[in-house]
This record gives sequence, C-alpha cells and structure tokens, in this order.
Amino acid sequence: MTKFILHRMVLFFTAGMLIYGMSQPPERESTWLWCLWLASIPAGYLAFSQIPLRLRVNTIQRSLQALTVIMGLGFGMLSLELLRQQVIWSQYLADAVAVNAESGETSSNVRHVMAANRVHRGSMRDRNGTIIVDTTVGADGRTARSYPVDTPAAFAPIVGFVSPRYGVSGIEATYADYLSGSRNPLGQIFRMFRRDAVRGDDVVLTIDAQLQQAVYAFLGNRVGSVVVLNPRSGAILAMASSPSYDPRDMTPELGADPVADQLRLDAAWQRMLQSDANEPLLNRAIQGRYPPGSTFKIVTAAAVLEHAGIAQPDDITCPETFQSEPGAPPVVNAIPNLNAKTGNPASLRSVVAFSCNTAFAQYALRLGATRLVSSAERFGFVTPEKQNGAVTLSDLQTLSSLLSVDDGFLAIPAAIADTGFGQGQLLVTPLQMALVAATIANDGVLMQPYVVERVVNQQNAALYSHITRPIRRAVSSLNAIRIRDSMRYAVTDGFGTAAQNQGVITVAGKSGTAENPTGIPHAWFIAYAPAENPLYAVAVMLEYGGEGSNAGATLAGQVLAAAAQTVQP
Amino acid sequence: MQEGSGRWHVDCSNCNADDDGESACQDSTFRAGLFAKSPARNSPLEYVAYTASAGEGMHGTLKTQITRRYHRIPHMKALRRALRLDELGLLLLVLVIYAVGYIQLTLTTGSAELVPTARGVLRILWPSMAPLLCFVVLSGLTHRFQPLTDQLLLPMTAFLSGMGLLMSARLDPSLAILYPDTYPNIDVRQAIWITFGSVIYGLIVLVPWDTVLRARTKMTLFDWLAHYRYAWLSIGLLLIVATFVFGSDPNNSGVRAWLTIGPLTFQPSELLKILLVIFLASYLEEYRSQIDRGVRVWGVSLPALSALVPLLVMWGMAMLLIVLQRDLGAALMLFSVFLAMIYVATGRGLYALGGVLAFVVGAVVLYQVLPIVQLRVGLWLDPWTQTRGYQSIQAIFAFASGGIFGSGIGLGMPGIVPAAHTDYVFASIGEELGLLGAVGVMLVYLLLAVRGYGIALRLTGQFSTFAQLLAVGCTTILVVQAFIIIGGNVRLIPLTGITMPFVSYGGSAVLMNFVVMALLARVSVQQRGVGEIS
Repeated sequence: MTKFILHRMVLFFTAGMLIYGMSQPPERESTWLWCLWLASIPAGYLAFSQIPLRLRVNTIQRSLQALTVIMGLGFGMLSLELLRQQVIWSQYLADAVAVNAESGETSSNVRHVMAANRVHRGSMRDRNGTIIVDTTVGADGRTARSYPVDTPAAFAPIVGFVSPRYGVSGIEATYADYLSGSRNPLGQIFRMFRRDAVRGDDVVLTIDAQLQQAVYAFLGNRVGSVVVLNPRSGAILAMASSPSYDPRDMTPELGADPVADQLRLDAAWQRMLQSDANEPLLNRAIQGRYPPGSTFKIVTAAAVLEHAGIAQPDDITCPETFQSEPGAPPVVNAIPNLNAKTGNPASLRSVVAFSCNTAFAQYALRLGATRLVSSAERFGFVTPEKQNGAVTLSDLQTLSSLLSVDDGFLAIPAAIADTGFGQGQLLVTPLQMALVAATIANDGVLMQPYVVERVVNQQNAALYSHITRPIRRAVSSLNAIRIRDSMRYAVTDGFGTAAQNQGVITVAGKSGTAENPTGIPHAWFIAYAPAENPLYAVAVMLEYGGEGSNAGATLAGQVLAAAAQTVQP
Repeated sequence: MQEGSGRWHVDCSNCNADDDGESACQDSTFRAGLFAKSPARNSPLEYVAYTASAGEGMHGTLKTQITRRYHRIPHMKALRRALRLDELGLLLLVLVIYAVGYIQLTLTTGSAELVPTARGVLRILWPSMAPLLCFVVLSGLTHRFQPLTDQLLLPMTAFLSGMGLLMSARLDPSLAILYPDTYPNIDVRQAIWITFGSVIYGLIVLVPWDTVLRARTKMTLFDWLAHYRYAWLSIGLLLIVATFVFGSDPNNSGVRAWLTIGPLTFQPSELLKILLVIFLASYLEEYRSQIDRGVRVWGVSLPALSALVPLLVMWGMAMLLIVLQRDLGAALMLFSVFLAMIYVATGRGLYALGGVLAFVVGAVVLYQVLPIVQLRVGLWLDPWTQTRGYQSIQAIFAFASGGIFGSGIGLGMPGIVPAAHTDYVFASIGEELGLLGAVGVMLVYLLLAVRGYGIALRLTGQFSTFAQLLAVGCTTILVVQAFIIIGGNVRLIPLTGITMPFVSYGGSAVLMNFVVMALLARVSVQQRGVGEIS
C-alpha cells in the first residue's frame, strides 16, 4: 500500500515537472532540458518497477529489461522534445527570427515566403471585367504578379504591389486574405494534398480601367491627384495619383537570374526613396493632405444655407478687404475689384461663383465656430478633438481631413474667418473634397465611398459584395439645389469657365487656389457632371499647380469629358 | 536429457507472459524434438507435420507437458510461423506504405505524369521500389533456407530502408538545385547501397556458414568470430589509425573520418563498431566469471582487473576519438555499446554507472579544453544567436512547420536544412510526415530494441553467452545510433555527426547496418535452439 502511494507520488511529481518544463518558452530551453532529464530518473524507476517480479528472476533478464527501459525512456524523451517543438510551441518556433549576435544578420523561416511565392493570387478586375492585375506561373511553380494593362503605374496607388522583400501594399494588402486564398476553407483542405491547388479569389473593383488610365495620362508629369466617383453610390471610378511607380519594378521576374533580379528590385526601391522622386509610394488622393482653398467655400455655403436665419446668405457684400478681428492681417480677395463681378450687395450664388474671400469670412464669423464645425462634420471633416466621424475608405488606408491642426484653433475669430474661405489650418484629402462635390450632386446625401465592388471565387460566386450605404444627410435637398445652382453659375460665368469642355458634358464646379508657405499655390477644382443630372463627381488637386481656376478647372473638365465618353453608367 | 528438461522449465516460466505470439514453449517443442534426433526438415509443410508430431515418443512429464502445450496452440499459428506469414505480411504492408508514399511524391512534386492505370502506376513505382522487392525475395529465401530466423527483423529493416529511399528520392531534386554538383543522384545511389546491403544480409544469413566453416576449421560461425577476436580488434584499430594518418573529409563536415581508396570513400568507424562488438562479446564471454566476482580489498568489493582494463581502454579510446578525430558521435556510440554489453555480461549496474560517470567527467574536461566541444554544446543550448547555428535553426523551422500531421511528402521544404539527407534526415521526416510520422519511425527503433533484447533474453545456457552478447551489442549499436542522431536533431543532446541507421544517406553506414542486422538475425536462429539447417 505504501508502495502504491509512493508510486503515485513519484508519478505526479514526474508529470508535474514535465508539464512545468513544457510550459517554458523556447528562450528558456535549458530549464526544459533540466526538467526533462531530471524527470527521466523517477520515470525510469517507475517503468522498471512495473515489470512483474517473476520476469526478472535472473541477472540477465534484469539487465536486459533495464536496458529496454532505458531505451524506451530515451525514445520517450525524444517524443516529448518533438511534442514540444511540433505541437506546443510550433507556431512560436515557426515564426521565430534568429538574430546573429555578431553580424546582426537575421534568418527566419523561409517557408512562409516560399509558400507565398507559390500562391496563385486572385486577379483584380475593373467594373467592366478588364483584368488589371493577374498572376503568371513560372516553369518552377513559382508565381508572380502580372499587369495586363497599358499603364500599370496608373493603377499602382490602388492595387498596390506584392514584393517578397518589401511587403505588400494597396488592395493587395487589405484584401490579402481573399487574394491569397486563405479565406477559402475548402482550398485549405485541398492544400493538404496538392501543392498547386492554392488559388486565391478575384477582386472586382469599381474602377474603370480606361478612365483610370486616361486620368493618369492627363496628370502627366504634374504632381497631384484626381478622384472621380459616382455621387449616387459612392463608387470610385478613378483615383489617380502622380507621380506613381510601375508595380512591375516591385515584382520578381520569373525565370530571371535571381541575383540580377534582386539587384533590379533593390535599385527600383532605392530610386523611389530618393527625395527627387516625389514620394511615388504615396497615394495622394487619400493620403495627401492639403489646404483646400476656395473649394471649401462649398462647405461654408452649405452651413450658411442650413443656418440661413443667422448667416443671412443673401445679405452679403464683397469688400476689397475685411478685418476679422483687431490686429489680425486683413482678409483680401484673389483679385481686386471683385465686387464689380459679384454685385453689391452680392448674393450667395455670385460670391461662390467668383470666390469672394471677404464674403465667406463674414459668413463664417456670422455662423461662429460651433455651427461651421458641425456643418463641416456632416461632410466628414473632423477636428483634432473629435476624430471619429471621419469618412474613410475601408478598402485602402485613408487619412482623415482636418478642420484644424491645433486644438482650440477655431476659438479665434480670425481663424474662423480664414477657415470659412478654405485657409486657416484646414488639411484635407482630395477624396474628401470629391465627397463634398458628390454630396452636393447627390441632393445632400453623403455616400460611403468604396473601391472594391465584390470578391468572387473561381466559380464566380460572390464571397463579398459592397452594399451601397448613405452615411448621413449633410445638407438639405433644397439647399443642395441652391449650391448646385451656384456651382453651375461658377462654370458658366464665374471662375470655373475653364472646366467647360467643348460641350461634351455640362459641368458645375468650384475652383480652389490654396496658398501654402512655399509660394506657388496648390490648384484645386471640385466638380460634378452632367450639371442637370449628376453622374460623376470629381476632385482634382495639383501640387503647386497655380490657379485652381486655370490648371485645376481645365483638368477637371478633361476628366469629366473622359468619364462621359468612357464610363457606361 | 537432464540438460534439456532443465531448459524446458526455464522456458516455461516465460511463456505465460509472452504475448508476442512467439511463445518460448513452442520453441522448446522444436528443441525437445531435436534432442530426439528429428528427421531433417526440408520443406515447410514437412516442418508443420513435424511440429505436429513432436510430442510423439516422449516420456514422462515432459511428454505430457508438450502434448498439453501443443493442444493449446492453434494450428493457424503453427502454419503462420512455418510459412513465415507474419514476415511476408509485414513486408507487403511496408511495400504498400511506400508505394503510396512514392505515388504521393510523384503527385506533389509533379516529377512524372500519373496515368491512373495499373501500368501507369507501375511505371512510377518500378525503379524506385526495386530495392524493397529485394526484401521480399530475401523473405522467400529465408523461408526456404533459414526458416527459424526471427520474423520481425526483416520487415523492420525494410521499413527503415524504405524510409531512407523515400527521403532520398524526396530530397534529391532539392539538393540538385541547392548544391548542383555536390550530391548527384542520391536516390539512385542509396537504392544501390540498399540493394548491396540486402545481398550482404542474404549472404550472412542464408549461406550455411556453420557447415562451411566446420568443414575447414571445425568451428561454427560464432565460434570462429569469437576465436579470432584480437584479429578483428587489430583490423579495426588499424583502420582508425589509418584515418588519423590518411583520413579525408569529402563532405567538409569538419571530421576527417573517411578513407579514400580510388573512387570509393569509406568510413572505417562504421566497420569498427561491428568489430568492436564481436571483440567485446568474445572477451566478456571469456572473462565473465572473473569480472563478475570482483576483488575484495579490505572488505570493499572492487571490480576485477579484467573488467577495469577494458573499461579503461574503451574509455581512453572514446576520448581519443574525440580528441584526435573530433568524432563525438562515434565516441558516444561506441562507449554506450560497451557499457550496455558489460552491464548485460556482469549484471552490475555499478560498472555501467561508473562508466557513465567517467564519460561525463571526460566530457566535462574536454569541454574545457576543446573548442569544438564547446561549440557543439553552445549550439545545442542556444543556436539562435550564433553564426554556426544556421543548421540547427533551419532544423527547428523544419520541425515546427511540420506540426502534428506534417506538410505531406513533397510538400515541405526540408532541403533547406544543411545535410538534410544525412545528419538531418530526421528533421526532413519530422517536417513532411509530422509528429506522427516521426514518432512512428522512432517506434520502429524501439521495437528493434525490444526485439533484439528479446532475442538475447531467450538465449539461455552458458554456451550461448557470445551469441547473447552479440545480440545485445548489435541491437544497442543500431538503437543508440538512432537515439544519438535523433537526439541531436531535436536538441535533446548536442548534435554529433552520426548516421540514422538505414535511413540516412551513406554507403558504408548502410552496408554495415545490414551486417549488424544480419548478425542479429543469425543469433535469432540460434535462439530457436537449433543451428542452421544443413
């Protein structure tokens, strides 16, 4: 009986020691090894004591049985080591990275990379089924991205790249689960038996490939970005950012000499990081933030109309200068004698069309910070204090658009006045300004923007579909109509006449010339078309592009004409 | 007859607990029959008939006991043993396992088109499976010429060799890409070695050496081996000395343990291990009683000089191997084999324990002195931050990526681990077959230990000590080798360059393992109480 209890105690002690050792992480390997080796002694005693006495009557039997027990223990310890490395800590060890103490070089599990290299990633198609990104399979079973379009660089800011060395970006990153097939449980099972069965799902974009390339070509060598979207649904039809990069420079070439190919990839990467390359990896349409200039007046105008009783939209003048508060630099207009064009007294319609800064400074002061901010927030702008209302693209990494950089900036009257006509500390993305145009075009309802229409598997069954979703009403339908009237007037008679495009499509819009510390202003233009029944909303932004009414309006006109000619509604 | 009945009773004490279907009592049936001047048995069916009539003409208690026992044996069991159906069945199972393995390998690597017809399947299997068919042929020949050989040894050998073949076929394309000219066609070479090995196995087991040698020297094979023990030892030591002088290192492993003769490279330590086992078996048999007695000095029992001397010599040799040849693995293996044999010969755990302690002390001293030992221990405890840890780290990744079920044959990347086909073949198995496959392979080695020691255990009587010790030595060589290299792979102990018996790629190792297995098989014939059938 005492022997029975003793054996139980030894058993529990041994098991406890092994469990404790097993729970030690791989950094504390020696603790585990101590536990394992020490536990082998009581385990051996237990094993030997289990052999019936009648089977060890003579010396030879005893010693051979002891040897067998020792061998069994040895293989038992090996099995426990395997259990530790292949089951308990396997994920930890498979993902571990070894850093050489002397050279600092790292070595990690190449299987992850190689597995990714063999995945037949799904394709990306535009709204018409044109394949933008595809996968080619090399002779050795490795796969690489291919871009069967004329200008892959036009799409790079959206689709991103897949590089074994520099990672994954764009839709390639946000939809990696679908594209690499890891969202496909059936595929996972096939993968246990066949190497070549990993096939990702296809992503269908809202982009129109033809329009996207046309827009990228319009930008040419200029630095800037363009967003075209459908105001009714929020679907992004084109989103160009310039300068861009050729995603083929990030893609390993199948069948090429690996060393030479790696040098090519490294050189391309280094070239993009140089300062004169102008940050090609930045998607300016959603990650570039600029002062919006006069395009923001549409937001102020919306606030004025929503609070017509306080802001008195049609009781306004357009003086040469306006002193917002004592001591502050006076607000001036872009050109002298503007009130000759706006009329005196002016109207909301004319101060929008002729972009009168002094008038909007007055409006802003009448509204006060609270009303201006709350109206702007309805369009998706945010303040540094309250960031959560920002409208972002869930498909791509988007920066929010700020009404001010510093907390409490809008408490100063001069700051409110400046913000009212689009200066101050405003920092906005072109996407956000396109959404302003789209909201006005969509009778005041802000739609959730999106770029991925759906994800389909090889059998063309949809695994994910975007559901068109209004975010909120930003402005009443009646006020939206009044702003549309003003924007149309700006293009027919105001500062946006350059956006008229030989009558291809009737355009309504608002220019912006954003002053910045470097001197040459940024050129902006937000617009929608056709003016009567808007199908396209656009924001163009040219860094240091000069007058919005000139370069900006011309580009917007070109883009809308191209949209009218290429996009099937 | 007195002798015979004495053995009979000893055997019967075993047979109740003997659950492997090879009850010792049945062996005694044959043994007793042999004393009764049995007719020569040439064909299996005659053999069955003979078995059935073994109880005839016996007297007294022995006869009744045999008759009683006989009636408890189902006829099927006797038939299975007589026709060696267990061996054949297990061999066919091994063939099926590797046929599936090869087909999967073909599918996963796309090395050949699989046509789903019998001919298409055979075209994939034919050249690769040829060496495994040798084992079926061997089984047939054993059935004809040496029907009393143990039935598990050949299937175990076939399983392990098959694993070696499959892994070399698996790794060959990877190695061809990674090291274009270093290891050409390892799958073909391994197949040739295994074919050669099985031929050598057949020559040792099937040729009636006892008769051949008795005609010339009046000695049986084991007597002959035991008699010339100093010759074997001298040959072995000469070869080792030769490696000190002329040794080469064809694989840049850091160990000069090979001899190059023309186009052939050969690792003498592989041969040495067999010669040493034969020597020790013979030496310990002769001096067993003296060693066992010990010397009492002032009331304290000390080991006899005849035990102390070989102990010291072996210890010295192991240390010399480490110091001069940097061959830690061989030293550890030879010393373990020696300890196992002296332990079985004397039954004194203290000798073994003392030997272990002496080895540990030697190792600790060498650790202080030799940088290579420090390096190996350092890599064992923490490979992560060291330049030389690359191999270890890659093996860790391989095991960790394998998981429980493994990636599947041909679906992992075991080729990245340096020496994946030799030292680290177990990591390849662990990655592609997972925990289950790796434990399965280890279980075969453990089964080999149980079976080998079982063979030694059933040999009784004072005239079989040599065979007994030979069985212990042969079994221990194979199993300890497997333990050392697997332990190095999974970092239970420091890694030492040693082959995994039958599985690792390598010519001399494979051949010598077959010799060891053949000797064990011959001992198992002895175990049945009869010599070979002439």
